[in-house]
Amino acid sequence: MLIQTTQLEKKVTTQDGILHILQPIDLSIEAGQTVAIVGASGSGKSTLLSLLAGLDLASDGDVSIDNVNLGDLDEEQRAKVRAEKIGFIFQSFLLIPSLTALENVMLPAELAGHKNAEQQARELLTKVGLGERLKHYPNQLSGGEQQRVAIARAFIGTPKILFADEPTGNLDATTGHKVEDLLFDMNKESGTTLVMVTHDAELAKRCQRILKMDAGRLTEVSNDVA
Amino acid sequence: MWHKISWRLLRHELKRGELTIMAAAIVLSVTAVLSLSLFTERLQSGLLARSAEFLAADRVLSSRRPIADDWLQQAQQRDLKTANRVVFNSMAFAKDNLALVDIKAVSDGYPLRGSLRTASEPFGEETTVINQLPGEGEAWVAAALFQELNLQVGDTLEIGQSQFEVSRVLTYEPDVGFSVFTDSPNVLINYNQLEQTGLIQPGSRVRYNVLFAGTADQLDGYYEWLAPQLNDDTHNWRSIEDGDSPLARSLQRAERFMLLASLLGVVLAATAVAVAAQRYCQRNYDVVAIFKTLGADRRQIQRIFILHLLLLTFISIGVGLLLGWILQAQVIEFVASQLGAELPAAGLKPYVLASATGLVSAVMFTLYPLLRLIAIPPLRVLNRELTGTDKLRWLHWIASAGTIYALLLIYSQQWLLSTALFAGGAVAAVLLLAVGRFFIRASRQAGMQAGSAWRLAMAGLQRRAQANSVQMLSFSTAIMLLLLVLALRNELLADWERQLPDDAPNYFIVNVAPDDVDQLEQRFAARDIESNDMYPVVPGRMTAVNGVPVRDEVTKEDGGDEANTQTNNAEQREGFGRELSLTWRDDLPPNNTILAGEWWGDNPQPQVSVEEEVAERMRLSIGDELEFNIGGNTFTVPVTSIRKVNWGSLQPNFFMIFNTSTLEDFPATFISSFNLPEERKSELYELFKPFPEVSLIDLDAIMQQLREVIDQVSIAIAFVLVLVLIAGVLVLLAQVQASMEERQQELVILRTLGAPAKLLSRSVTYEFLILGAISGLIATLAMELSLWILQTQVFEMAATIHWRFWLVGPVAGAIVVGTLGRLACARLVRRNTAQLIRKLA
Repeated sequence: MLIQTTQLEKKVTTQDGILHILQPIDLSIEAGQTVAIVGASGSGKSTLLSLLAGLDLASDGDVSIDNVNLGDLDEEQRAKVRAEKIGFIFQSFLLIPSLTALENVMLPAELAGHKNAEQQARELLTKVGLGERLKHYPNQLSGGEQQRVAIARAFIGTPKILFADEPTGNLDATTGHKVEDLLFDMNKESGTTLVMVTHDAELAKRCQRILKMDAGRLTEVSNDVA
Repeated sequence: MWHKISWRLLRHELKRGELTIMAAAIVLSVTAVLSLSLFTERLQSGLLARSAEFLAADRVLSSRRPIADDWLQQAQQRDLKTANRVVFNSMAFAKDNLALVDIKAVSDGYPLRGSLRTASEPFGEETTVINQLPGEGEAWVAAALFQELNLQVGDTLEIGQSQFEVSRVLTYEPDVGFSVFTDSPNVLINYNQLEQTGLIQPGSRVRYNVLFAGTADQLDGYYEWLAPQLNDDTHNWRSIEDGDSPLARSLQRAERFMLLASLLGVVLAATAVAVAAQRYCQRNYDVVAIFKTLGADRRQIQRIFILHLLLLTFISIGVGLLLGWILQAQVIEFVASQLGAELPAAGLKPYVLASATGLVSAVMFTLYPLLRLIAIPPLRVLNRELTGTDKLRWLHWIASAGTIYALLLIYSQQWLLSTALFAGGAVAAVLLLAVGRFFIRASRQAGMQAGSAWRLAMAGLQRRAQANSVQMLSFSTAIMLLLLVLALRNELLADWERQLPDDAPNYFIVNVAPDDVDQLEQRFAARDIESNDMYPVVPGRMTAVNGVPVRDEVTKEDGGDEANTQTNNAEQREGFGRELSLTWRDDLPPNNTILAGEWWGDNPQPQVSVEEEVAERMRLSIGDELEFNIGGNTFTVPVTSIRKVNWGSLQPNFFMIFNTSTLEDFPATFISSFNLPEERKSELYELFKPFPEVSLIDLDAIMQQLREVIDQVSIAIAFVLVLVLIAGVLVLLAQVQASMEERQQELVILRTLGAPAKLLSRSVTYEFLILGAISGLIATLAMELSLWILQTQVFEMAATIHWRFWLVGPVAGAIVVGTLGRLACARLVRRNTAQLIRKLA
């Protein structure tokens, strides 16, 4: 099992008492699966994503990735896990504004100490159709182009898992579809496990599994119900 | 790999102008410190060189005994120029007349600084003498002695066992000093002739001087060698900055002002760095969160950003050094052309100082923001509100305060001044914060009913009360420091102006017979010449204090030396070693203030008022009985008051003033001073013809030099002011920029909701106008307080309230801050809404 949670919980203390953002969740995702997490705003989708990716710590329960319990790791060790095994795509792209497209893509490989980061980045950008725009800064690119840079960046370390948070949420329908196609194509090609948070039912349907989040409770729904 | 990422980030950010404010702040701090310290150092050494004329040397070693030959040889080995000067007084005879004169025997090279001027007849046209001294058997004699002895050029003057031909009229000696009226007329002879006079005997009251000239390093090196061999009792090492002359005081004040203004400039520049550093780190919150999400560990992030900051700092320091050097060179050139003189080059110290300032402020002010930056949680990629921990905020305050204090200390190298400024600043900061909060709260109530742009502005002010009071702190600090430097400069110039008005006395008359006083005053009035009061002078010796005789072996040559001599016997006090000019008066003379005791008024009991420094040196206090001997008559008199005397005023001043009934029966002569413009100089002869016994002392040359020095200092002060001004504006700019960023989101939302650009730009302008006005008002208050302390404690001037600034402060604050805010806002509202939204996203 690539991703495994047991009784994973997240609660926060507020003035009105304890707020359960995630009710205990047991979840297993196998390598190579594509999983969509759907649900209304505020239902806890992004919180679950942040726990699965080791960006945040659970209040209770465990998350393990590749049989490593993230709860046993400190911030540094979790960063190492992310560097080696995880790629990200965000709704707001989160590119570094002062780096060019090429440099943004190179960044994770450089941080991981890869020698041929630039070569890999060029190839990936060419693959996503931006071979001519290597030297452009994010603000010189359209939203769709920025997200394609983000996809290239997500794949550069050949991660085992790709977490995507509303990857087409900021894009118009046409551009959104193109980006979706690109994402699924590249995912298929590399055999990466994809965990995607989305509101978009159509997008969710392209995944093998659909999980629905409702007020912190996660339920698996059959693909055609979502 | 991390260094590549760091360098890449820096390169792009620099190119894209994202680091401009931070870089500009560091550049400015370095530029300001470098140009200020280079300029002040160069100007100061220029001024000192110029002022050294007043000593006829850079340094003077004086002694009561002959100065050892090997001390001179040592100085010559160190390439210092030296000259001997021996001064004593003696009787001089000519044509059966006799007079007490000061004899000055000087060796080749004298004067080492400045030059002598002579004339071929008394009050005739003077010429500057270069590399020439009285020859064998010759004496150059002051004009006053010509009158006193009824001399003419070519006459013979007998001094001791020698006879001298009076070959020239001595009209100007650079080292004549300011204590003119206690001196007898001078006779200048060659050092080689000294022995022949036979006047130097064991026990003679002679002052031996060696004059030195050279570079500051040579002089300091020599003094280091010499100091252990000096004896406080007999030796005195002096530069022009020591002492009590009006010039020394002006220089000391100017020096203090420049130091203070430079310090304030340093604080301003550091404040700009602090504001920019905060913003620099905030800008990078997202970047760090992304780095962490992409798997960067803490160490990589630390390395990347520390290197980034250091690279930025070093590049900025480099640019700052270059700019500072250029700026200073330009100003020096301008000043030099104004003064017609070259200013000496400065050492390495200013460069080190400036670089250290840039580095220390960049590193220290970024320390806490950087810690926060590095601790940004990766989860920020999903939740933009996360800004990490704020627990170590106290560390930030300590680091910032410590840095400012360290900078003050490094720059001034005076811990007392630094501590005073720092403590004052800290108290002012707390007050400013509190007052700022209060004003913001009050202004909200006032603004509620106003039009919509005002309402928006008021609501904004209130909502950002916390942030605004911090902003107001930096606005107020900047405005306050600017006002402070400006007001201080005005005070200083006005004070000099008061001291040296155009109609300041430029002649002293001494030896006026009592019968001539009325007639002379009438002649002054008839010719419309302004003169001071006539002061009676009775020569007398102070012989005992409370019945214990004073030790009286010091020669009269140099009043300043006596301060350094110590008594061996605790009971026995060091006397003056000469006759004093005693006077009597009913009322307290102008420029005198009573420090202890009371002025006598109508009380006819014998009493004396003593000058403060004499009282301190001789350990005199109210009630002590002083014994005086006047022409063989001895009497005692109690000290009833101690006076502070402004020696800078070019008027007759006295150590001892008696009440009228005590002295009026002793035979006296009178002295006074008056002003006669240069072009009326020719009237002097006519004016004094009926009074051959009156001696006239010409102060014009000295005053001219004093004026020139003050003019130079004024130019320097103006330059310092401009630099401080630039530093102040940069702080304001950095602060407005930073706060615009905070307002950005709100502006974008309002713009998206359809608020017209005009409304937004007005509301921002109003908000900054109000902030500026309040800051200006608080700044004026703080300035007034600081100025009061500085004037009374540091500059020894009378404190005044500056009503004009109560208007200037708030108005200038409102205009400058409002304009900067409007400009910053205009840039933002010019973009279209979509661009704005994308920028925020």
